[in-house]
Amino acid sequence: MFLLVNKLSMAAKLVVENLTVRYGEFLAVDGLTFQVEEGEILGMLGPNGAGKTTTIKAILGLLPFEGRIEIAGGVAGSLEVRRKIGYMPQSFSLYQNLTVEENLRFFAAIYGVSKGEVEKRIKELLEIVKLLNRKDELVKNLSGGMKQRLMLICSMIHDPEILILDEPTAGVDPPLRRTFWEHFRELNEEGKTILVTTHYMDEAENCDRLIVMRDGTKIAEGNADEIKKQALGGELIIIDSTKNQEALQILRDVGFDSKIIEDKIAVIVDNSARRLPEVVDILKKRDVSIAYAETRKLTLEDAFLRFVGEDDAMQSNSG
Amino acid sequence: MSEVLAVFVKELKVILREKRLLAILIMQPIILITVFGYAFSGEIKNVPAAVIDDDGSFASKQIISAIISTEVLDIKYFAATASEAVDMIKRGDIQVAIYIPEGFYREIKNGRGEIRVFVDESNFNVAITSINLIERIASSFSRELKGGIAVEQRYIFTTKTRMIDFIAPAIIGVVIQMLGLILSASSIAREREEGTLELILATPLRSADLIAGKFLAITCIIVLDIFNVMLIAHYLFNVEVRGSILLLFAVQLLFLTGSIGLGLAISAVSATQLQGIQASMLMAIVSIFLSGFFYPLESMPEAARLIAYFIPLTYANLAFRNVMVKGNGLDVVFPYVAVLVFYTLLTTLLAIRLLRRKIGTGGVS
Repeated sequence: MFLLVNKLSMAAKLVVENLTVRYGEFLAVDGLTFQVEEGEILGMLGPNGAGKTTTIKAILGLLPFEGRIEIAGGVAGSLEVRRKIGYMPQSFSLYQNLTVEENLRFFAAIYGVSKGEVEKRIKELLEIVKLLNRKDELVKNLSGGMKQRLMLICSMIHDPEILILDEPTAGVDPPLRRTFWEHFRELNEEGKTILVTTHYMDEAENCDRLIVMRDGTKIAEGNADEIKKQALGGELIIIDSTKNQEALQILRDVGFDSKIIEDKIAVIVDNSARRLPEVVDILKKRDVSIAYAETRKLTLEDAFLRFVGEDDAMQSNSG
Repeated sequence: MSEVLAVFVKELKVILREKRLLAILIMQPIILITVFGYAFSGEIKNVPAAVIDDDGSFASKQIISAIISTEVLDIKYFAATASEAVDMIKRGDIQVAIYIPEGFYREIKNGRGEIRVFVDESNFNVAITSINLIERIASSFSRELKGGIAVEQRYIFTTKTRMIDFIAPAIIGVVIQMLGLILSASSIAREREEGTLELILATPLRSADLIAGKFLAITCIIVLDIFNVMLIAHYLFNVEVRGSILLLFAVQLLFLTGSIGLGLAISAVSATQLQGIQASMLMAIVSIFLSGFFYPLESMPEAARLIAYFIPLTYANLAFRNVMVKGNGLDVVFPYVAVLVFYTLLTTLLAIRLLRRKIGTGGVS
C-alpha cells in the first residue's frame, strides 16, 4: 500500500487530456494531449499562434476549456493548485510603481509565504539573479533584463513545485539566457517540474522532452534526438556529384528516399553511418563521380523548420 | 486577511505614486470647494431686515440708527407688528427682524429693557452675525444709560439658505462620486493593461480579497478627500453641519460604496484605463448637471427633473443637504438613504458579477 502511494506521487505532475480551447469560432487548441512527469523539464515549441500560451492559460485556470487538466494532483485553477505553481507570463507584468522588494513582498503575501520565511527567501532570490543592490529601485526604472530576472524570482517566491514559464528568455541577451537556463537546471535538480515555451532551438536542447505544436495540435513529441528523427523520418546523408539529377534517379530506383536540397542530394536513411558506404558504392558502380558524401547531423532547428514550415518559422522568430 | 492587507498596501502605494492621479485626488476637491466657496459665500453685508418700534422713544430710535450705520443689516421695512415681520422672514423677504416693545426706554433704567431679535434660522452665519451685532450695540447702550438691556433671540425656521450652504453638501457628493468612480474604474483596468491582473489570477488570491483590498484603499483615500472638503467648507466658509455628523458620515460612506461598485463594474467592461476614466467622467458630469447641484429639484424643468430621479447623486445630495443644512435626522432622510442602499447593493452585486465573469476562475467550474 505504501509503495503504491509512493508510486502515485511519482507519477505525472501535469496531465493534459484532449484539451480544446475556443475563442469564439476559432479553435486555438484542438484536442491536445500530453503529460509532464515529476522532475522533468518539458519544452513546448511552435510558431506564434500554435496555441502554446493558450494551453498555458488553460493549465493555470485562466481560460474556459474542454477536456481534462490535472495538475499537482488537483483541478486546474483551484486555490490549492495555484499555491503549488509559479507562473512567469510572456509579457512583462509587475507593478511598475512598486520597488523590486515591494513586488516580491506583495507576491509573497498573496501566495501565503509565512512571515519568518519571507526575509530569507527574498534575500536568497535577489542574490541568485544579482538584484540585491537594486531592491529599493522602482521597477519602472529597471532595464529589460533586470525586469525579466525580477519576473522570474517573483514566480518562485513561494517555492512552487511546478514552474510554468512562457518564453522566459524572450528579449534577453545571450549571457543572461545561459544564466537563466543554468538556473532552470539547478531548480530541476532540486526536483522542480518545469514547463517552458521557447523560440530558441539551442534552449530547447536543454529540455528533457519536447512537444512541437502547430495550429493548436501536437505534431511531435520526444527528446531532442527523437524529434529530429521524427522530423525527417530518419537520418540524413548529403551527396554532391557531377550529375545530381541522374544520381537522384538511380538512388530512387533502388528504393532510397531521396531529394534535392540546395542543389545537393539528400538521402533519408534509418542509420546514416551504416548506410553511407552502401550509397556511395551504388553510385560508383553507375559511374557517378562523387564530389563528396557525408552524414549530416540534423539540428533541432532543421527539424523545427520541417515541422512548422519555413514561413511560419520565420514569422515566429521575428515575432 | 493578510492577503487583503497586502492588496490594500499595494494599492495605496500604486495610487499615491502615480503623480497625475494624485494631483487630481488632492486638487480637485480643494478647487471645487474653494471656487464655489468664494463665488457663493461672500462677506455678510446688507442683510435685509425689518424693525418694529413699538416704543418710539429717543433710545429706541438711537439704537435703530446705530444698527443702520453698521451696514451689516439693511433696514428695508418698518413693520407694524412682530408677527407681520415673522411672516416676512418666512416668505424670504427679510432675514432679520428687530422688535423693540413698548416701554423699552422706561424699563432700561430698571435694568429690564428688552429687544427681541427674530432671525432666519436656516442661514446660520447671518443669524449669528446679526445677533452678535445687536448684542454689542445693546450692551454699549446699557453702559451709556446706566441701565440694562436684554437681547432675546427667536429663531424662525425657513427653507431658504445661503448658496454655499446649499452647494457644499453637493460638492461632497460630487467628490465622492467622481473620484470614487475614477479610482475604481482605473484600478482593475490598470492591472489588466499592465498584465498584473493575469499574474494575480494565477495566484491563490481570492477575487473577493482582491476586491476587498482595493475597496478599502480607495475608501481610505476618498474619506481623506471628504474630510478635506468638510474642513475647508467649515473653516473657510462657515458651513455648518447641523445634524448628526455620524449620520452624515454613514450616508457618505454608503454613497461612496455605491460609487466604487459602479466604478468597478465600469472597469470590468472597459478595455483600458482611459476608457474606464472617460466613462466615469461622463457619468459624473451628467450627474452634476442633472442632480440638482446648483438648483433645488423643485426649480428644475420637468424633463430634467424626471432624469434627476434616476441619478443616485440626486439622492445623495438630498440626504447630505437635509443633514447638513436642516439638521434633519434619519427619520427624515430615510427615503433617500433607502434609495442609496438599493443603489449600493445593485452596483456592488453587478461589480462582483461582472468581475467574476471577467476575471474570476475563468468559468472553469
